[in-house]
Amino acid sequence: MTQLVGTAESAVVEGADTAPVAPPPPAPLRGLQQHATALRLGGSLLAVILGLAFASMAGSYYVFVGAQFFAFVIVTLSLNLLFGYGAQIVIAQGAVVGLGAYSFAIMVRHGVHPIPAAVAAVLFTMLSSLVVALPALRLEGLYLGIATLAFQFGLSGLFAAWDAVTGGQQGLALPQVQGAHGPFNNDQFWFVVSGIGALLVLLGTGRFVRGSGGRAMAALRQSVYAAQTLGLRPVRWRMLIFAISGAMSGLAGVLLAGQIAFVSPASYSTDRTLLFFLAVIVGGVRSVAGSVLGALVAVVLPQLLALLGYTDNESLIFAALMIVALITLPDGLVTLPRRLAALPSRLASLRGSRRAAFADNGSQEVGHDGK
Amino acid sequence: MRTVIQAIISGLAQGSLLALLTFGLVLVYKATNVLNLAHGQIATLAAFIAAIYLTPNDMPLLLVLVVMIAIGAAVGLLTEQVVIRPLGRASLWTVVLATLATGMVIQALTGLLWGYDEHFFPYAVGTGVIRFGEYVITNQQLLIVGVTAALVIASTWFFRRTRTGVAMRAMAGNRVGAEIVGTRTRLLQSATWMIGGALAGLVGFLAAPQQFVAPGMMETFILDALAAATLAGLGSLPGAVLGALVIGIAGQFSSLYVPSEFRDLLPLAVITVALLARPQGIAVRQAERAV
Repeated sequence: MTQLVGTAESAVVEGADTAPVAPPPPAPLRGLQQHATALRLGGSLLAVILGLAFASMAGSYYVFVGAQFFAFVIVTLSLNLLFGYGAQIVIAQGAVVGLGAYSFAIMVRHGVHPIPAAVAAVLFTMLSSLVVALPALRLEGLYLGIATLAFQFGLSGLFAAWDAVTGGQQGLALPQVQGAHGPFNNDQFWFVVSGIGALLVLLGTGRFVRGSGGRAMAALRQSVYAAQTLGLRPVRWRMLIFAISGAMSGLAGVLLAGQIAFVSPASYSTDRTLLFFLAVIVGGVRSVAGSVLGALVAVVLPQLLALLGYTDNESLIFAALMIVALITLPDGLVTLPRRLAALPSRLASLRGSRRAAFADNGSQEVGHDGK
Repeated sequence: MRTVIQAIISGLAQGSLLALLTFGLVLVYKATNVLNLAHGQIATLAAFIAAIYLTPNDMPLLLVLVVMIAIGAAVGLLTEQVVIRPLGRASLWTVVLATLATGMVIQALTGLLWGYDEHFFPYAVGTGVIRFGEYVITNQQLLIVGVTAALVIASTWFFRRTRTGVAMRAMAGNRVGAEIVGTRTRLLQSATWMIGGALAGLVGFLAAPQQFVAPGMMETFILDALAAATLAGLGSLPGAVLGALVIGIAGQFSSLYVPSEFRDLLPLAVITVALLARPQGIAVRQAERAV
């Protein structure tokens, strides 16, 4: 068995997958892992209480940003599932989220009640994602990237130019429903709804990637052929991943459209796709916690830039950060503590090896002592 | 019938321009296994600098062309040094995302430095046309077809017959193996990116007059080129040209029969149709054979 995995690893299709199994956590955390379910429940409860407290006390601007953060958590998890766990190079996240947002907005504007409209938008986005999955069954790696980039550009162009349906560059405004939010005001309402959505998606995704789904994904990433010999069906898994990811994107699209009560081409452009990728990569590819962290960065960063008075060209900053992140922190922020913890020993070993090298030189060339 | 034939003629000319763009993509891919999604923006940058600083001051167009090629080569080299080299032997998707981001950085910088207005760019050979019978081809189109044809022949020779060309193919096929037999891959990689950038500068020179110069001027173009590359396989230069011609003609027909708001869906449509026609995969097999 180990032999098989070993050979599979040497024939890796997707290069980055050198550590499929997470390293064991440091000693103090090991005890906690035995009570993982209880911890998760407790954490969720705490998050709900903190969230409600935040929604009732914070200013409406912060409540709005909080709701955005929740929607971004869903988007980032959706992309991470497809791109990280599923190893599918799909450069169309902005467009897919946009499909959810636009379909929701268009239906609501035509008088459909928001709740069935939201459900229909999620289903529609899921189906569209399956359409994107069709080339994924035929195309590998780069070619899939190109095909999906074409999807992104095509839809961006459609959002911007198809005036009759999408409102063109002006976008579409959603009608406000008076008195539909119960005890909440508009911002609080979307904060609560998005929060519940994000929490459920977070728990669900976590469960999926820890369970048999995650193991199947890991096997398929290593070697499709080896996975097939174990009885896994690559096509079925790929479709499933696209469907789940699409549904999540659709939900996020509905939430984003509802929060701002507005959809426009710029919100679902290629630049946006890059921002979503930035969230995944800065947070950590194939890490659920990393996705939350990445979403936080992706939401706070534009607000921070606006605060600093820089609003003309956000994508410059995003793109530049992306390059820096890819070069310096390819495994994401989640690995930062582990890396920092490992730093002293790494420095020591570095020093040690340098000293060893010097010593080696010294033995050959008289007059050089280790300095 | 007349419009159809005229559309094919214009499509072939447009396809030649696309072929030139696809060419730069395939060249870099063939030698370094990197898909340079910043290629279009490099062309735009060169065109911008020329349209703002050079052509308004009546610099001779031949000199403008040389400068644009130099700018393209410099930006290509810069991209390689700043982005590609530090990434080292990172995975496929890392490099794709990095070049996508690089393109956005260049595009954003262009907009930031020179604004989002459209700039005029002169035709290299005037605005004259040549008529044969009832059909028309512009001088510029003829020039583009000529340049593309010359480059196709030159590069086929380059990759088949010169030591450098063969070394580039060897590097793409097996980098370590190429290093073992003495190929200086680092130098070669830099050279490849410079040539790719230079080609982008050339495309900028030829495309700018009909496009007008603006930060997003190559966006539709580069996507058409990517679709062309997908049709034929990223590793095949003749295939890339053929794919580009197909897309060029398809683009002309779509402008005749399809409302313009759906124009951006063309690359996607072509890729989809090709997938339906050849479900075993349009590109993969060809690409493998070509390496």
